[in-house]
Formats: sequence, C-alpha cells, structure tokens
Amino acid sequence: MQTTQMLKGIIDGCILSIIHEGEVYGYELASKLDSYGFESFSEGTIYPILIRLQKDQLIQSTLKKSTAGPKRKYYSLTEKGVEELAGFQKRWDHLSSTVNLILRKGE
Amino acid sequence: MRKENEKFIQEMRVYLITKGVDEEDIESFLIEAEDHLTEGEKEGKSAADVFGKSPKAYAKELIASMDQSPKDNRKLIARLIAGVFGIFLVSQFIDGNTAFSLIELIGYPVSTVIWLIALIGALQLSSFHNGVKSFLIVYGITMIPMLFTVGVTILHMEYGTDILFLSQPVVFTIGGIIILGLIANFTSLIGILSSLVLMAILFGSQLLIRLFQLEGFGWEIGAYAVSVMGLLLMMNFQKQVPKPFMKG
Repeated sequence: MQTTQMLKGIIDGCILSIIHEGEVYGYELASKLDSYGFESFSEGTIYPILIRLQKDQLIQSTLKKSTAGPKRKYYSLTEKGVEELAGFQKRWDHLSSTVNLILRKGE
Repeated sequence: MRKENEKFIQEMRVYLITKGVDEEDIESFLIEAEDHLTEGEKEGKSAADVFGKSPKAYAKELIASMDQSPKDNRKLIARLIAGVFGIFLVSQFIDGNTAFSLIELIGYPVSTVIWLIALIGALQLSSFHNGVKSFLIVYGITMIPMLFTVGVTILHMEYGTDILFLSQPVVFTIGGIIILGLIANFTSLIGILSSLVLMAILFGSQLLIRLFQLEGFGWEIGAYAVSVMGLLLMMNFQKQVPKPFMKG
C-alpha cells in the first residue's frame, strides 16, 4: 500500500491539528506538512481537503491583505473543528497503539 | 508569475467554468492557487510540482470536493446560449441579412444549441493540452455545428421565404445591444481587453468586407481565415498579457 493511500484517513486530522496551532494560509500549511516529514505529499492536495473541511464547517477562512500584495486566505478552526480534532486525537492514539502492539509483538 | 503558471491558472479557470462549478468557488480557489504558485516559484517549484503532473486529474479531485451548484450551471448555459446566438445574429446582420424565413427562425436557434454543446465539449476536451493540439480539438469539434448552420442556410436559400423583416434602425439597435451584451458576457470570463479583441476578431473582417462591398466566396473564406488567425494570435497574446489585464 502506498503512503498516500494510508494517509487518506489521517491527513484531515493532521491538517486540523496544524491549523489549531495558529491561523495559516495554504502555502504555509503545505510547508508545515512538509517540514513535519510529509515530503512526498503533493502540495496541491491540501486544497480539495481544505474545501471539504470548510464545507463540513470544521474550519473557517478569512481574507486578509498579505505583505506581498494580493489577498490571502487564512484558515482557523471552528468550534466543531476543535471537537473533531479532539476526537481524532483519541481515535489516533487508540489506533496507533493497537497497530504498534500488533506489529511489534515479536520484538 | 511565470508563463506556464499563468497558463495553468487560466486553463483551470476555463475548465472549472465549463464543468459548472460555482464562480465564487472558482475565484476563491484560484486566489489560493496563484498565491501558492507565486510562493513556490521562489523555491523553484513548477505548477506540476505543486499540483501534480495531470492538471485534469487535479481539477477532477477539486470538483469532487466542491459543491456543483445546478443553479449556476443553468446561469452559465443561459449565458452561453445568449452569447452564441448573439454572435450569430450580429454576423447575420453584418452580412446584410435582415429578413428571416421560417427555416431560419427555427434552424438558427437549434443550431445555437448545437453550437453550445459543441463549444462546451470542445473547451472541456481541449483543456490542459498544448496550443496546437487544443486548437485542433476545438476546430475539429466546432466543424459539426458549423456544417449544421451552413446546412440551414442552404435549405433557406433553396426553399425559404422571408416572413420577418427588420428595418435598418431596428437592426442597428439590436446589433448594438447584442455587442455590448457580448462584451459584458465575455469580460467576466476572459477580461475586458481580451473581450474587445475577441469582438474585433469575430466581426472585424466581416465588417470590412461589407464596408468595401467585396462580394464572392473567396472573400468569405478569406474573412474566416482572418478570424481563425486572429483567434490563434489572441490565444498566444493572452499568455503574455500581465495579470491585471487578463482579469479585467
């Protein structure tokens, strides 16, 4: 299974978590994902996800003037998004410890 | 922004519009994409690095995440029908045709719809191909409505009797309104400068033929060739005009 396939279910949670750290715009978000180690992740992939998250009312966006000139869209979590992130963290902790348990049982 | 990035944005806009995506959603995404590409450029990233090697596959992924509003789709179709029919009517007027037979009154609206279907199909299929290939696709497909329209004209010449007559002032008024409407219609799509150029290309050569009272099939073909050349030039020119002009 490719990494991208595995990522599908968990990338939303990672993006919510990064946005929770503080307002970000698209490029910044992609750079942060990259610096955390998702190098193979195609940057453009974040936009369909951001659109979906916004549609699900987990994040909201505001247009602000950037230093570079054109308006820039900044994302922040909604209350529902904060709840979803907490839920994701719980599910992930359970999942990762379970997977680790299975994978490392012989060690 | 680099030329190929500019091209990516422009083609993405056209593709998303022909797919009936809400215009606000398109603009909102393109602002981000442009910003991302500009930032990426500084680190030497191309559009392919950011959005993957297949822009079409990316566009589909994007559309799947967006709301495709049927209301806006209807608006787009209405706009296109009006646009195509307007262009058609004005070129009829310039040609000196101000009286219409029943065959024309039925045939031309029908051919407008065929034009529309062909144009949307052509724009979708030609997106993200290189210049020559996309041009061939567009012209190959638009031959179908073209032949139908010619067919209607021939039928009219053989069997048609004029039943609707328009006087000169009426023709000028309707023609003027249509041209203004067309410019407004295209401005949101390709910018005001490009729209004006498009009008000049669409009607300029026909108008000249009319003004100098040149008759004959050779001139007609010549005018068509000039329009095609003009469109080609415009497609090239569009990639070079700075962004503020393109957006209008």
